[in-house]
Amino acid sequence: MIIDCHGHCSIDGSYALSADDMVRSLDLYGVDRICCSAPISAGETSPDRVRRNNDLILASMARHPKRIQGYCFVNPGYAQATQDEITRCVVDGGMIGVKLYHQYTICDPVQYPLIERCIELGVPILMHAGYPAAPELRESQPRLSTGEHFAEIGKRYPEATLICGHIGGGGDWERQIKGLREVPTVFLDTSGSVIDAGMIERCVRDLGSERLLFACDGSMARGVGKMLDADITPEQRQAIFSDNILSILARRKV
Amino acid sequence: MIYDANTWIGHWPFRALPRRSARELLDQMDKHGIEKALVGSLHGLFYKDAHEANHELVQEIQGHRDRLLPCAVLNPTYYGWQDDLRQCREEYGTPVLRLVPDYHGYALTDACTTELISAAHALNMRVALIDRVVDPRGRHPLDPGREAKRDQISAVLSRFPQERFLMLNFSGLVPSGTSDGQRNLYDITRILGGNGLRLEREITKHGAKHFVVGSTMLLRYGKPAYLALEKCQLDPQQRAAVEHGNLTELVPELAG
Repeated sequence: MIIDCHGHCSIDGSYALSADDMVRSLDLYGVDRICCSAPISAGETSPDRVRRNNDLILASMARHPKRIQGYCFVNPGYAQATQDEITRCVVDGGMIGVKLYHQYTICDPVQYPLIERCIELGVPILMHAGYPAAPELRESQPRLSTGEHFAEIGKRYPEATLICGHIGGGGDWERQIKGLREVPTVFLDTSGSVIDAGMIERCVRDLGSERLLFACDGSMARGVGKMLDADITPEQRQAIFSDNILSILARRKV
Repeated sequence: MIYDANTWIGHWPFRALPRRSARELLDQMDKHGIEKALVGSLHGLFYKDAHEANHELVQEIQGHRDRLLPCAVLNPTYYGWQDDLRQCREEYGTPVLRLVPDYHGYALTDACTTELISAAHALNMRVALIDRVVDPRGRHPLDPGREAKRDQISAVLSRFPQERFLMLNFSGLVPSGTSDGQRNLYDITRILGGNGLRLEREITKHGAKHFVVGSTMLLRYGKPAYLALEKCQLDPQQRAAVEHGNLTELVPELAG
């Protein structure tokens, strides 16, 4: 079984691929399931807009219930709306966890109530992350979460299930890995368009295959391709492709 | 039968590469079922005298010339490049010249570049333009490489309307500025997006005649490009064109 734990789609194609095109892509590349979200990456992030985006995912899940699962995107700056949206989408709507973007870093205190709620529910938090090597790119996402941020929050909440997004999302991925080495409870997903030779092997060497989750984040050929190409054992590949995310999903308490 | 237009061997100063040698490239090609490849020297981008890397490259692939064809890197601002180019072509049998202006300190629109391209064509060499070597998001601060400027690329294409260029690592087709915008060949390595659905759309839209296989091994994993092409729904003629036909037409030495 192969589960892509980081993707984006919408029921109508208004956000990333349509749900139908997503399933076509999954079929083409032999992926069984995908966990999708519709985060807001720029502009206003009001509770209304957040709800509309999450509705795109709920509808996609309803259309392809065996293939598409959902993350609930929230802006933790709206504390009560965030709690309400988690109740609506995760507890009642069946989404598997929470997706955060770069509105705040993962270790910002504004995240604490949200993280504590996810611990209570036993669900994961997938966080957009990276360390752009160029200073001007870092300035464009000043609250982008780095490996160092995950190291800090992972020590504060070792019982949380935190997923650092897309090691191949563009940036200094070696630095990200070094930050994550300090916190064995934090997972890392393999997605992103960057396919530097040796990336997956380095993740396995420094973090262990038990901490890696297969994902593509819109780059299916690159995401699947680098996993098939990597010089790792079949057991390690299977752990990354599905065993690890299945064990995370089994932690759910609601 | 797949020929790869975009491979590299050698050292990259900003990151430890798991593999660097011709033997290791051949091992990767065997693993993926790639028959032949055009290969350049990564560290040639950083030598003051780039031609020293051409000597090393030819030596490194000696004994494997049935599968690996060398691509020269030369700096048109460096003294003596004319003799170096001639040696690459006449003595080393190098069919392709790769231009890396950011690494060698010149612009594609400089007069010396025009002179180098003209000289290469006069020797029946094909010229490869490279959009970028590394992703700018992960670029080391000391890495001089940037994405190629579109106006400079268009200017070069327009200046040589009768020639065909090999376009490496571009994210899409560049308008050539001529009535015949169909002569250049693009490798597929950056046309893999859209959750794996884009490459087929691009080939369908523009025609298979524009595309060749390119992976950027040993700098990156090779499988993504090969996998994306494998997943495309193409008729046998289209597939043969992209996998080897187009490149062999541009670089007939591959057929030897």
